This record gives sequence, C-alpha cells and structure tokens, in this order.
Amino acid sequence: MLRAAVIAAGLAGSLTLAAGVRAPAQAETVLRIKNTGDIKQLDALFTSSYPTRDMAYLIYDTLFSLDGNYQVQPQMVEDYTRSQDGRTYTFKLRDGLKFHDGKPVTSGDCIASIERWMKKDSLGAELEKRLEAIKPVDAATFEVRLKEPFARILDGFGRMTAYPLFIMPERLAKTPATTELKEFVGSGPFKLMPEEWIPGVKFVLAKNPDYKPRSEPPSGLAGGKIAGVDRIERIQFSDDLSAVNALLAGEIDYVAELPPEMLPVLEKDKAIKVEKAPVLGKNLQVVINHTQPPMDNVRIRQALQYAISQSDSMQALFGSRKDLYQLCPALFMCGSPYETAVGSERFMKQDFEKARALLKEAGYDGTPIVYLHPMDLKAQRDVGTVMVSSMRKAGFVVEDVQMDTATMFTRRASKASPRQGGWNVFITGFAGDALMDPLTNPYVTGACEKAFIGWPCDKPLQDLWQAFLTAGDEAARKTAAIAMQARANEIVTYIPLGQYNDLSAWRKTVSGFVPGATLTYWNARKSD
Amino acid sequence: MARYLFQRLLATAPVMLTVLAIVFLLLHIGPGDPAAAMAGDNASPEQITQIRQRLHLDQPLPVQFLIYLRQLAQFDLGVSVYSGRPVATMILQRAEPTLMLALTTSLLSVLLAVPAGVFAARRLGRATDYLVMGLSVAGFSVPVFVVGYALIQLFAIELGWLPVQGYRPLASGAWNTLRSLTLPTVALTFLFAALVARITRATMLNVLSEDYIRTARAKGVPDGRILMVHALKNIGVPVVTVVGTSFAALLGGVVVTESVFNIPGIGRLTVDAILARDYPVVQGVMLVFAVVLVLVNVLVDLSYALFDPRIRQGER
Repeated sequence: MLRAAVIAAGLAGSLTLAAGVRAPAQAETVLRIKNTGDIKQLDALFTSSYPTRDMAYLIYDTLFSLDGNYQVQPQMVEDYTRSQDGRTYTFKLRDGLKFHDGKPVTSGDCIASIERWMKKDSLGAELEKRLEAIKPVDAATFEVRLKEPFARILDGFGRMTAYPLFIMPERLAKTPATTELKEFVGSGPFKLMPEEWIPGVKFVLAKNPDYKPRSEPPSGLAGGKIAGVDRIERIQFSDDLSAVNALLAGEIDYVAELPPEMLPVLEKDKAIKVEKAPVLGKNLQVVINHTQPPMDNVRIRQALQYAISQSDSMQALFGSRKDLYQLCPALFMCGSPYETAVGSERFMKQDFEKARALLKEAGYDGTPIVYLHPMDLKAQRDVGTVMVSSMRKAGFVVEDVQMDTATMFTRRASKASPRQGGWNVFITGFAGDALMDPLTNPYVTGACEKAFIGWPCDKPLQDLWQAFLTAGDEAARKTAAIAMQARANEIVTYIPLGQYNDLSAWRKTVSGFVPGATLTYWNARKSD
Repeated sequence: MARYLFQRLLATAPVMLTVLAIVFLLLHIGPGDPAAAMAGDNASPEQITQIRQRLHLDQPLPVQFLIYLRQLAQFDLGVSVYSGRPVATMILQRAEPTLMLALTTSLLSVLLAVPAGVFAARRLGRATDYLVMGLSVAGFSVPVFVVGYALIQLFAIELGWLPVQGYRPLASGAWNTLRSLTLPTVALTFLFAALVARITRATMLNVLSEDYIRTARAKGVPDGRILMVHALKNIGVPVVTVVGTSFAALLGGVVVTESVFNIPGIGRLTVDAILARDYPVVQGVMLVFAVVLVLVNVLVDLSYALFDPRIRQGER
C-alpha cells in the first residue's frame, strides 16, 4: 500500500513538473536536420562560411535566383527592363513582399542591400566600377544606370556565391560591410528564432506565414519557395555516429553528410532512405603555392599533375562504392554549364614515368615539398595520405607536416619560405556551386596577390577572366571558359581530385527536397 | 571557521592569476589564427587583417593580456570571437547540462559504489569481493564511448525506452531532464563508481584492521554495528575526497560522453572553442573551471570536519 502511494506520488510529481513543457501546437511539423558545420555567425557578408550562407537562403530572399539548370531567374523581382543601349536596368518588385518585422520590402531596402553587397562580392565590385547611379523610381521599383553595358548584372543579383545578394531592411543594410550585423531580418520563407539559436547546439527557424511564394514550380534556388514545415531545427552533433543513431531512432529527420562507413547500418532500416545529396556535388583540390620554390616552376607543377590519381583519391574516401563519385576532368565541375575536359590529360592518367621525366627536365634537386596535412578533417586526412605516397613514388621528396585545421588555416596564408613557416602544397575542398562558375571559382583568376591562396599570377588568365566577365552572350562565355580551363591547366593553378556527392540519409516521412547547386529545405515536407 | 574560509579563498587569487597567465600564453603562442578561421576560405588578406585589428590580435602579447585583465576586473569575460556573444552567457547556457550530469553521476556513483566497496571489504577474498573488484576493473578499462554506444543501441534504438541524444533542460520538466540524462549518467557511472568502489574497499580494509575495531569485536559488538557505526564513519575523508575531485572533474566537462550523447555541455564548448581558437571562450571556461575546482576543494576540506572530530578540535 505504502509502495503504491509512493509510486503514485512520484508519478504525480513528474506530471506536475512536466506540465511546464511547452506543448507543440497541434499539427506543428518540425524538420530536424544534421548538417555539416556550425552556424556561429549569420551575416553572410561577414563570413564566407557555406553553412551560414545556406541557412541565410532560408531567411533572406534574393532579387534573382539560380534555377535547377543554373540559369538566373527572377525571384523577388516581378519584372525588369533593359534599355536599348544596355546601360539602364529597371527592376519592379513583386507585390506583397514583407520583411519578418512586418514592414513591406521597398526599393530603398533593395538599393541599400545592393550597396552593402557591392563592397564585398567580386562581381559586386565589378558592378560598382561600372555603376553610374542607382535610385528608387517608386516604392517598388528601382533603376540601375551603368557607365557601360554590363550583362552580368543579373548574374550578380542572382548567382550563388560565397557572398550572395540578400535583401534586408534598409536600416540594417546601411551597416558597413566591415561591421557584422547583429539583427537578422529577411523576407524569406523562414524566419530566425534568435532566442533559440545557440551556436554549437541548435539553430532554429520558423515558418514565415506572410511569405508569398512565386507561382512557378520550385527549381534549384528559384521558383516557388513554399515552407512545407512549421519549424526547421538544425541540430549540432560533434559525432557522426550519434547523428546516425538519432536518425535511426527518429529523433532527427535528415543527415546531410554521411560517412560511407555508416551505410550498412542505415541501409538495413526500411524507414530510412540513403541517397547521394541532391546537389551539384563537390571536389577536393590540390592547392599549390606558386610563389615558393620548387613549386614556382611550372614543369614541377606539371609533374605533380602526373603524380596524382583521382581514382586513388576517391577510393580513399569511398572504397569500392564507385557510384558515389566520378573522375572529372572539368575545373568548372562535371554537370555544370561550363564542363569541358580541355587540358586535363596530365591529371586524368597517373604516370610516374612522365612525372619523373618532367622533374628531371625541371632540374628538381630534391628540395622537400612541404605538404600541409590536416588530421582532423577525414577527407583531407585520408586523401592526403594517398597523395603524399603518390608524390614520393613520382620522385618528389615530401615533408608531410601533420596538423589541425586551425593551424593549417594560419600557415597556408603565409607567403614565407616553406622552411620558415610557409608551405608548398595542401588539399582543400570547395563545393560545386563555387567552382562551376568561372567568376566564383577561386583558382582561375590568375590575379597574383589578389588571387586565392597559392597566388597564381598569370596575365593571360587575368585577360580571360575579364573576357568571360564582359562576354555579351552565353556562347562567348562558354568559349572564354574553355580557354580559361586550358590556361589554368597549363600553368597548373590547381588540380582537381575527383567529383563526389555527399551521402545523405533521411527518414521516409520527409520528402520534397529540390535538387540544385546546394540543398535548401523550403519545400521539404514531413508526414506522420 | 570563517577565518579559515577567508584564508582559503584568499589563497585562490594567485592560483587564478597563474591559471589565467598560463592559459593565455598557451593559446596565443600556439599555432592557429582565429581571424583567418573566422574569415573563411574566400577572405582576402585585408579582411583577415581587419578582423585581427578588431580583436586586438595585432597588439603585442603583454598588451593583449592587459586588455584581458582590464576586462576581467570589470567582471567581463569578453565575447566570442565568432558569435560575438558574451562568454559568460555561453558558459551559463552550457552549465546546466554539465552540472546536472555531474550531480546525477556523482549521486549514482556514491549510492552504488560505497555499499559495493564496503560489501567487498567485508567479504574479502570471497566470490562477491572478486565480483565487485572485477566490475570495478571493467569500469576502469572499458572506454566510456563503448559503454555509451552499447547503452544507446539497447535502450534507445532496440527498446526505444530512452532518447538517443540531446539534453532536455529542467525548464522542460524534471522527468524529461532525467530521461535525457539516464543513459549518459549510467555510462559515466561505470567509470566513477569503479573508482569510488575501489577507494571505499581499500579504506574500509584499513579501518577494519584498526585496533579499535578489534577491541569492539573483542567486546562482542555485532559485526553489523561495527561496520555501520564504527567503521563507516572513518572511511568518510578519503571517499569524500575522491567523490569531490571526481565531481569537479565532471564539472570540467566530459567531452567523449557529451559527444556520444550529444549533450551541449561545457566539455564540447571547450573543445569547439579550442579547435576554432576562440580565445575568449577558452580563457573564460578555464577561469570558471579553476574557480569551481578551488571551491569544490574548499568544500571537501570543510566536509572533513563532519567525519573527523580531531579536525573539528583542531579548528577550535
């Protein structure tokens, strides 16, 4: 009797305590996802972090967007006109656009957002050079006047870069691009729940009930963005197996990047779907320091092209799962508009003999190649081990310097001699959405000091970059892109190590992911 | 007593300053640049320089240290290099899961391990002694992540009784909190109970061989009374010492357990901050941990008086 009373009292106490829990509203659907990286900042112009950018796409809307075929389509813009001389563009916004604070989106907001964006983005900077004036016509219309025709203006407004043009209220957009935003108000299909955002723990978005989607079907980042769930919770995991366990138990719905070794566990579960992530993909790249000997010698860089093997690199990542990767000769990604194999012969077929011959021809004296090898990133660690072995077989003397990522980030920025804290070679990874466009691909500018780390310096490549930028039509752009790839491969700005898609896994109760350059969640739906 | 407490607390000041200086130096002379990591792959050198200036990382180390000390003098732990959030807030957000896990683990460890250690000592050389000590060795030897994953597989995935991961705060109801802490607590208890059980057994064996116990036996005092009244109280000091230091270690964060069960505690905050070179967060966590460690030690010292009248006499 006494025991029963104690149990009853305990249960009553538990229920009383549990009463404090906020019960979810009826039919509230919550999409819980595990994605790579943490959201520590949300000012997409202040960091080039992809996790930040991808979440910002849910909060902010864009004037134009890339569709599933990587073509720019109007998004917030209802209609636009271009003057006969190609120097004046007039943009009219769609009706009913509202920020999350309830205020309407106006032309003033767009102008302020463009002005902030131009200070940061490379294509924005090109636009600013050619800008004569940008001014409102009425509350929903604004005009951009250029000093000379510039066909890439729409690409600038809609393309997916490290720094996309997100539209925010003028009061926030007036913040200098060098000062980090502290308030995040957009007009996208989801709004930030700032009080629930704890870096390293959780990032929460709630459906924006005021969002008016376009009527077109969703395609890539364009078309109708329909919030299919009430909340998105991006949960931070520091251990992949914990995330997989949570997926198996139904505590989360989606894991964006799955280590291949987890496949056997998940493939047995009929409630879970495992597929390649519905995005363009990514690749790893060998980055070479062009400023330091011996890699400042083009013959030695070409020897490195012969030394690497995309096949071995991909096998180091995926084992026998050949369906998860492809050997890709294109610097601008396979499956993208500018895919070409031109100039890829040296790195598509490993040949140690030719590598040794080139090293001999270049007079390589056995100076150690300082290779930065981060051990806390699985892909870079494993592929790096294969790479170092291949380089040694090809006749390079390699100093394999193992370190953590933070140390590598610091050291790779150094232009000092490799013996004095500098470096020669390392591997990094960029997503396909950055690499597919010659204007955002960081390796093909040839811009010397202003180029991406490695600092390739090449006037012909700079000219080709400008030719691509100012090309009047798509055919001219394609021609320029092919020439850029040929030149970049000739001087070896970087070496791609194969293209792959991350494996994603999700519970079958979730559907509606839209394939595109990157994964967005606005059309995802969740059933019981 | 008050004087003793005051003296102990005063003695912590140089300890704190030393901890601050060592942590600051280790962080800043080690490789890694938060400005470069923060700026990301596409940042230009100018952008990295701007961030470095904003964070005072372009200043000489002594100047940076003085800036930090000035902040601390104003009870300000600074802000995270990345999120811009106050370090104190970040630590507080992560404190509850760590504190709760430390409390439940310590409690369960004591409840299980002290009787088990006493029992093993009482049954010295018999099968039950070997069983307790065998379990204790296993508790020490099996990594906590193995125990953790095994518990998750059985109780969360196969049986579905308990959540796989995450921490439910007390504000969501004590029942939810306890459910979310059950598996990590059990996993950690394997380790900490093993430690406490071994110490308890060893201490109890020492006490049972003391003259006063022999005298009590000679006078015909029943075994149970000898154990509960005369012996148990005398194992208090070493056991409390071990439990106290274990509790302090748990408060410092148990990174592996937090990772396996995805608990957003102090341990993960610390490791994430170290990997990202988020200097203010690492410094803040280390400072708070040092304070907690000192306070727990003071409390443990004070608790000795409860068990040992000689210490009480000495205080007078």
